[in-house]
Order: sequence, then structure tokens, then C-alpha cells
Amino acid sequence: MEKKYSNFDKLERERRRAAEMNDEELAQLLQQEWENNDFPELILPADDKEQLYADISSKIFDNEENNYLHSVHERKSLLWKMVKYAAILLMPLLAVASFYLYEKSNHGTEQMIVVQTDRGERITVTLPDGSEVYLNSASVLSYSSESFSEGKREVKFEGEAFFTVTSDPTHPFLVKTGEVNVNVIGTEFNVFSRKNVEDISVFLRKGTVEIHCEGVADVIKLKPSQKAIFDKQNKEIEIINTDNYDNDISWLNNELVFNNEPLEEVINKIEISYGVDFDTQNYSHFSKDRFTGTVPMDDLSKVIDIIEDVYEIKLTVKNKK
Amino acid sequence: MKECIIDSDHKELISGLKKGSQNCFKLIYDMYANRLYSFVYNLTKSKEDSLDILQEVFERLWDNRKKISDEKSLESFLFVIGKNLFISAYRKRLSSQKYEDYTEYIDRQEEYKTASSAIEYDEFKKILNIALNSLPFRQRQIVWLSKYKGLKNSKIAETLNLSEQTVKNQLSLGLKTLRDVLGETYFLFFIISHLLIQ
Repeated sequence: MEKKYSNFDKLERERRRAAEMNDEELAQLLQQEWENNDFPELILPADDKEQLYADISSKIFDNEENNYLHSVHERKSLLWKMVKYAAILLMPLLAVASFYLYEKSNHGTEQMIVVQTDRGERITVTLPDGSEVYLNSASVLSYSSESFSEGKREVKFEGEAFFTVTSDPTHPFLVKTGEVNVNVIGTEFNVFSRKNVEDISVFLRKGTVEIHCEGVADVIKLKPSQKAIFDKQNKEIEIINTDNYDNDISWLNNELVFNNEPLEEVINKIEISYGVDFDTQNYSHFSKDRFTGTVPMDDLSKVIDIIEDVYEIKLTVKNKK
Repeated sequence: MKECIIDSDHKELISGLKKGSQNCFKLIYDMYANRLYSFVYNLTKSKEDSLDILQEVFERLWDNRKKISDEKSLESFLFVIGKNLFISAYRKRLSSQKYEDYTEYIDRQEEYKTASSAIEYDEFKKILNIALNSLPFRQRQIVWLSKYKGLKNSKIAETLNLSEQTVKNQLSLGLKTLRDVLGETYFLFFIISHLLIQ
């Protein structure tokens, strides 16, 4: 009868043992197992073994070739670089000019107004109804001023923004972003929706919002302090209660707050908000390591110090955009 | 490309690797892949997870090849570069509710000595996911929060903005549907009835 529940008991024993150890102690234990061959021997099927090697070698060896080609290419293209910088300098001017011309020339047809922030840039947009949208870096907001004047309050959006919507119960305010529509009455809320990130999240600070998600029949109603996270791939919504402050809106206070996030995502967010690129080689070995902490959004050298201290690495900025 | 020799103390092999010989890298892979796989599988109990970790470790080996000190053996170097991956994979499996379900399933299989042999953990996770995904959204959400996030009914009611009675009803409805869908599949039936008792 001793065998009864043996696997479950074994799990419980292992859990207790692991809970009592910090990572350093656990590492020592595992190292002993590794060196003494203290684990059942399995056969990695030949097919898998070959496939895995093919994956590994294509990644590491091709990478090196690409890096090499890249550097040769870069040396040759000084002229191209100058053209590029000239274009970057002219871009804001072009954006303002085309926006102005667009508004002037487009009478009669629907006018879409597009406001786009670059990496490292943040601005406040005031909509025709008085609502304000504070756009974080690398985000796009678009709306039609004609629809607004007809009382149809609707904006399209991608990226990250904090909305303060003027209350008008007769004219609901709609935010369309990817697979999610947020229907608003009068309220303050944050939307995080980036193409390359798995989840879309909506954090409500005040008022009420309704959320429609593609592939989900139910309409979700958020209460203040609640946050809805929509998993784009599995079409699932999770609703979380917060204490009316969420990491999602830390950017409003000029802070980036990370809670157990992989370093590669942490670096990605830092790159977006400062508009810089780090050399990936500096941290690639730690990219899956989790980071918890707060860093400022207005002091890049301090951020670099923090990350360098924690991981004992050297971060180098490739180029400032 | 330079030929590579497997010598007894691996000196040639290591110096070849440090010089960037792809042949040496392949030889080292062939020497250690199987053993590393067995070691990692023992931590994760999942083939998919183990292969992911193996890939990462060998990529790190290549990226860090210049840091190998000659005195240290390849064996301990492989452990050092993969250490954090091993630990987090092991802790993740230990804290997983699905793995706990799996041990209960295995124990049950052994107890009854059923003719069919027990399935692997990877397969088990897949079947469990299919079963959960067949539920309507609200029920799936509640079953998920109750079972895999360990929330109490009252907490679920609060989180989802529902009454506690609704949560209770939806939970038992969801579990019943799961049972009907999976009626044939004996082991999942066990898990579901286990859920009902809770």
C-alpha cells in the first residue's frame, strides 16, 4: 500500500525542499545531480537530436554571417546615413505640413486626423469634444473630425495612452484598438495595445467602460480600479482588481515599473520610451531572466546603471534615434 | 574547416571551440546532448520544455565559448551557463497545478494497474487544455480561476463582478459539462470529480 499516492507525495516532498532553498542552494544541489549522473537516463530520439542541432546551428552560425555582412554594409554607406539623418530631421516638419495641408484640402470627404508619436516622444492630444488623450511613445491615434462634429465620438488607436474622456451620456465614446473595442461614457482609463505584445490591457481609473473583444461573446464591464487583460491569441479575458494604481499607468509619473518581467521586454520598453537601441549582444544571455523594479523615464544613464548593476553587464547604446 | 579531435582531457576540443570551429561545436553537442536532455527532462518532465532549454544552453555555449577556462571541464561549464534556466524550469514545474493533477492521475493509474499505460505530462497538458477550451467563456473563466488560480468563490465573484451564487452555479455547470464531454476519458473524470469535492 506504500505505493499509493507516491508521485503526489514525491512532488510534495520536492516542493517543500525547494521552498526551503534559495536559488544558490538549489543550484548546488542540481549541480551535484548533474555531475553524479543522478537522474534517469533517457534517449533523445535521433530525429529530435538532428532537428535541434539544425535549429541551433542555423541560429548561431547564420547570425554570425549576418553580423559580418551588416558591418561591411555599414562602412560603405556613409552617404546613405547622411540622407537618413536629414530625413529624420525633416520628418516633424513634414508631418506638421502634411497634416495642415490634409486638413485644408479635404473638404467634403471624411478627414482622418492621425497623430503619431515617435519613440522617446510623448504628447497630449485634445479631441474636438474636449477629451484628452495623453499618448505615450511609439503610438498612433486617429479620428475623423467630421464624425466628432456629428456627435459620433470614435477613435482608432495603437500603442499606449491614458484617456480622460469628457462625460456625455448621450454620445458614447468608442476606442477601437486591434481586437478590442472600449465603449466609454465619461471616464479616465489607460489602454495598452501594441502589435508585438500578446495582451491588450485596459485599466480603468474612474467611471465605467464596456469592453468588446473579438471572439468573445460577452461584453465586459469594468469598474474603477479594475484592469482587463485580453489574450489576443487564446481570445481570453482576465479581470484583475488593483488598488487604483497599476504599473500600466506608471508612465504618467515618469516611471517605468516592472514586475517580474523578462529582461528582453524590460529593455524593449526602455528602448521605446527613450528612443534608443541597445546592443543585443550585451544582454542576450540574460534575456529570459526576470526583472522587478522601478526606473526613471527621464534619466537614461541612471537606468543603464541600474540594469548594469543588477546583471553585471555592460549596456551600450547603438544609436540615438 | 579545421578538423577536430576528441582527446581524453578535451583540451583540443575546447581550444578548437574557442577558435570558432563548428566541427568541434558539433562534436560537443553530440557528446552532451543526450545526457543534458536526460538531466533537464528530470527537472521539467516535459519534452517540449526540455528541448527549448537544450537549444538555449547550446546557443549560450557558442556565444560564451571564449570564456571557457581550460582548467574547468566542459561538463561544469555547461551547467554554469544553463544554471538559471534549470532552476526556473524546475521551480515552475513544482509550483504548477497541472503537474499536481498529473501526479494524481499517475498515482491513480498505478493503483488500479489499468491496462493502458500512462500518458506523458506533455500529452496530459494538451488534453486538459482541449477539455477546458470546450467550455463556454464564462464557465471556463470561472473554472480556471477556481482551479488554476486557486481563488475562492467569493473572490471570483468580486473579481468578475458577479454574485457568489452565480459563481457557484456556473462552476458546477462548467464542471458538469467537462464531465459530460470527457465522460469517456477515465482519468479526466477523476480530476473533475476531485474538483467537485473541493
